[in-house]
Amino acid sequence: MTDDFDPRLRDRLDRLAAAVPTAATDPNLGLLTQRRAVRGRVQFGSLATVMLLLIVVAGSGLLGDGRGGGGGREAVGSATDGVFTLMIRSPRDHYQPRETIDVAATLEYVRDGSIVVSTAADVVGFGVEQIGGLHRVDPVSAQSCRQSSFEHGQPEAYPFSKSGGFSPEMPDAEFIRAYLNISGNKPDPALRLPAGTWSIFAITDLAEGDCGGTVRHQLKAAITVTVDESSVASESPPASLDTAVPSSAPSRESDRTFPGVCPAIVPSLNQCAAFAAWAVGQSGVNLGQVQRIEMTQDQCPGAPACSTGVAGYVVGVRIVTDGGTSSDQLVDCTRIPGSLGGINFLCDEIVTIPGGPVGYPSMRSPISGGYHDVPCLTPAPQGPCATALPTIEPSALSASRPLTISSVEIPIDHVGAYSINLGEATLPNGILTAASAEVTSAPTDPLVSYDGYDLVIMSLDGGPPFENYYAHGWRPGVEHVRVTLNFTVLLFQPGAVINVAAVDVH
Amino acid sequence: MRGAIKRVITDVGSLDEAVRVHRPWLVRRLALVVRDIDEAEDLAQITFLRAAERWPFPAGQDVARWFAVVGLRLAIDERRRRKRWGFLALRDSDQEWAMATDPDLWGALGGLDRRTRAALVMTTLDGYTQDEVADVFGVPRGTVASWLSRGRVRLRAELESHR
Repeated sequence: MTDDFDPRLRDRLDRLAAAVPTAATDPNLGLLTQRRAVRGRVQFGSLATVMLLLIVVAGSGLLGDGRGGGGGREAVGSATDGVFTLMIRSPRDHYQPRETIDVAATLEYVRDGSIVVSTAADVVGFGVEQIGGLHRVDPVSAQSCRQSSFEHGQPEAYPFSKSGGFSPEMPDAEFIRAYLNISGNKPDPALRLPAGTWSIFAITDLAEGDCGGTVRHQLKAAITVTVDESSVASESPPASLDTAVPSSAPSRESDRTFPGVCPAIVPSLNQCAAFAAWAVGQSGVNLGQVQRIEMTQDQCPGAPACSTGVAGYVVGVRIVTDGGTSSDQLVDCTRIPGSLGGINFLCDEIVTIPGGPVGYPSMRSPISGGYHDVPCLTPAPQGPCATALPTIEPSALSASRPLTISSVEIPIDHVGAYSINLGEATLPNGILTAASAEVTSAPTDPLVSYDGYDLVIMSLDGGPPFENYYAHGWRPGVEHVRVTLNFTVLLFQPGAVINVAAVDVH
Repeated sequence: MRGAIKRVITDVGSLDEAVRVHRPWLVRRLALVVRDIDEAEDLAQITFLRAAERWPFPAGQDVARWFAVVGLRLAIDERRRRKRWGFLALRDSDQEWAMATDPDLWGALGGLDRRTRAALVMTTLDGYTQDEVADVFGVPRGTVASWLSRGRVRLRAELESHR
């Protein structure tokens, strides 16, 4: 390597970096811009336009229109944007393990005349996702460009096909390997799934005209099928929305589906579970009283589409309790309080970030926001309300006992709220100096709700809440407290645990 | 700011101020790694939103480094996430700003994977050590060394063939 290569490279990189055009930084705009596409981003040029998406989920009786439902009924899902309609079908919605699942899709140009579009190598890709589980295989396609012509009234048929890849270190490698069942360098074309409830979906991504076309059509249609050992049920009357999920109240928290069926507009079941959990929280319904959750897209204000634009989803959530009452919530992921403009867990697919200082979800404690006077008219330290903190008596300090836990493992066995008693401590003069803990598990396994963890400090001596020094007050001697960790699990796999480390309360 | 960005411990009083101070250089770094302005802007936004969840940072926190670490990790994970959706063709868009400045370097950088580009940007432009880069990406130092070695060899071959 020449002596001056590194300095020259540095100079050129420096010039290249300096040439990057950045938008003017408006402090009010900085955190509010919604730029992400509904499902990832495809670089077809900076002027790419995503056509408005209208998705109708018609599989398994979700819309109560008589199609699908339990038993051996046809399962149909469709999506349309007014230009193209993508449909996916299976003659039955109930299969046995090791039985080949018959699935096919059609894509139709619904306007008059004809159109030429460009796509990747496969016009329609197929994938599967386990409902209530974490298995998922998305389609992949070679990065090539092909053009296809569509005529009005002449839908094109696409049989189910597999695609995908895996590496041994992937968490779901075994499932993907079994799914692909590669033989002779080709995947087994037959679709067979293990027992469970599965969403089978078809997606397409079309650009009008050439591959660099700026007008695009992205559609996803899905059906739900059940795979189990029971024999296929005989034909039954059309299933209504109310009977799409078990009508008897589950006896245990872990029996609840959460949610049972996920609308196709929400890209992943994890997000769907998050929508459901958010809606339950907003409804005020006790999670333990929830019998079932239904999700629809037909409760949106305005017309025609239930979409907030390029970055959000609006989903109707109906919460039905054991007592038979129901509560309807309209969840707009872009308007979640505290989401700073809508780019948040509900809108986004989960981004896996290694644990550490950027770990998600967040951990809150009574003093994670710092101490301050209540009320404080001017923020400290400039304002007049920076009252001196009370003094801790040496005798109280020596009599106090902190709670220190290097690590603890919390087994997860149900969806819903958890309140874990971590132990007790005694605080000198009732003053909480530190309250912290770290969660070292992966943020998505198990999946914890967006509002994260609460480290709750509760007085056992009748003292007020531990919000800050000034609200709680000072007392002689020591104060006994209980330390509890609260969180909500949305989704988990059997055997999941949450690892908590460095618990420090004193 | 060469070689100094990661060592600047910026005492910013508000998140808005932090965004104002750090956004331009973060977007520039991310644009070199992901090779697309729009994606770089989006990743920077997500980085700042992650910061908002934790703001205020503890006193003495190296804010710039935090942004760089999170932003670059997101850049790498975003590529994996988009590949998981799979069906959407992933290809570079035309970046006129790059073609007008140094088309040869831009083209040569395109032949490297994101992690190698990120490692090169961090070490060459911002003075990170290989140990620090290894810590950012959760890989052994030797892995970073091999990325950089292969990356430099490839860049050198590409750039010197255009001389």
